[in-house]
Amino acid sequence: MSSKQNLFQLSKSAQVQVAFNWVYILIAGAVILMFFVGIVVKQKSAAEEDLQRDVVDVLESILIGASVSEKTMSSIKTSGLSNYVFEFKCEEGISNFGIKGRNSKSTKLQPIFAPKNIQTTKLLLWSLPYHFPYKIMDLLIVSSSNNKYFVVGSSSPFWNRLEKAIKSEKKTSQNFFNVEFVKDLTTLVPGKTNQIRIVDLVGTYIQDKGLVPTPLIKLADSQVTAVSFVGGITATYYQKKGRFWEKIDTTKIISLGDQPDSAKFAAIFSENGKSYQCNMMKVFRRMQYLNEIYGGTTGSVGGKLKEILSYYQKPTAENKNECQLILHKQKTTNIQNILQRIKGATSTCIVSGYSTCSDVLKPAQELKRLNKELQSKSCIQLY
Amino acid sequence: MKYKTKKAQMRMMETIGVMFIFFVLILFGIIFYTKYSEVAFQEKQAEKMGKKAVEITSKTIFLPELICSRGEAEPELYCLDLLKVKQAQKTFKNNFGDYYFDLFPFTKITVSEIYPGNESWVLYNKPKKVKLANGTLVGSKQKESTHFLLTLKDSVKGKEKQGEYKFGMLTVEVFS
Repeated sequence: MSSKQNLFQLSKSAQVQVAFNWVYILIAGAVILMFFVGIVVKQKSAAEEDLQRDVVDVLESILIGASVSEKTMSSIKTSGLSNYVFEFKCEEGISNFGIKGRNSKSTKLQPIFAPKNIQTTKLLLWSLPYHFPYKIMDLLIVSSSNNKYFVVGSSSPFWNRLEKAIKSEKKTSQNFFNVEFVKDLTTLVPGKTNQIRIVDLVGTYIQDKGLVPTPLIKLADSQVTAVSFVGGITATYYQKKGRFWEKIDTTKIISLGDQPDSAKFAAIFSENGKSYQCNMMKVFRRMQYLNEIYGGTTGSVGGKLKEILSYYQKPTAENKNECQLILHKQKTTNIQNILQRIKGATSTCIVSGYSTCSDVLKPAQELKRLNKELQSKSCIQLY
Repeated sequence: MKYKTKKAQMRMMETIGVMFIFFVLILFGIIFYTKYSEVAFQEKQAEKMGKKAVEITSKTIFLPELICSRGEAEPELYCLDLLKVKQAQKTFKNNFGDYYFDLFPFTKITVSEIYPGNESWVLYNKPKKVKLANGTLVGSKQKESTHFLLTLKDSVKGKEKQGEYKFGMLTVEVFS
């Protein structure tokens, strides 16, 4: 081989090597770039998932907090998740809450009264104690800053109580629900709200197949709902269908009318009657255990009542005769037989469903009266 | 020719050396990351258990089944009604699977009187069992405890129906 030929071959090999080096660098560069892009994309989705999980965890912690501290108002900032929809549903005694189609948790114990879907930058939570007649548990109400509630029906006695409760809550917490009291529905200003609910306290403003107020007609059907209280003890839920209201369902409100009337407040914020009843059944389920604490198991005298009765057996007990009368000696009604009635009615309510739970109302009212009587006679109170 | 082969051998050795160091570094990275993940996981578990213990303690202090209620008025803060505590022991035990396990999972809750007496009541006890390699079940030794001082009210004692107050402690042990 001549030296000229050798030189030519070498130069060709060098050319190939240079080109190869460049191709190699390009491929390696692209791979490294893709690696980092991949990391960034993964991190972004991981951060989003973390945020979703964190929000659901915070929500769960607040639920625990709600069962702990009554009459508290709290909020969760969810601006990072404003594109997602929060879902709250209660089916077959189990509440699910979380981000729709993604991260969610469930609770069999805590009742959560909320619209089914909420898309917001701030979730608002309010816990209220439910007494029947003793404290059963705290009801948790969830809504958002962009859900607006128009209350109508100033002739109802509930109007003043609701207004008073809301004003006092607004004084202590600026992050309160967006509630507006209006004289009539013709002059409503929906504003920049995601969902609107009309709360008719007298049951005359909203009727099935009745006309939707003119300012709300342009809004999407899913954005407008209503709840109408008939006689103060029934709540009927409506959904906007074009220009008319369409009835969804009706539910009874089982409450002793205490201040705040948490069962009624919960009905205002509940999605519909079915979801309200599902959550209230959790309350009655808990009630059967509280009945046991106060009066022992069904068919026998036990619990706190038994201890009080044994105390009044002692000859040294103060006001013995009067207290014994209220506790178990009075013929018509006494605490012992009223507690038995409550226990029986609660068991029926759990077995037969919500429609029978109103049977607990009368004995509960009676027990409330008798407990007050115990207090007025300086006897040991049951609760 | 001989010179060229030597050069190629040196290059190969160089490449092998670089790759060896690269893999050693990767191995170090993996070992470091694994150790870090293990420690981080353990810390997170401990943090979770601590949080759970505090949550269960707060739940217990304000449990309607135990609180010192005052008719229509607000209940007494940080006070447990002894008459209810005694019944709660039975109620929690009888309805543990139906209800109370969801409220207090693997936990032991004890209320003890510190002064004047020294009685104590185990309200709830469900230790977690772990399976060993040989298949036997033993109680988990991993637990987080919290203690909370409160008052215990005995309504049937004391003067003028005010009840007798005692010092007590609530101990919550969460098993993991």
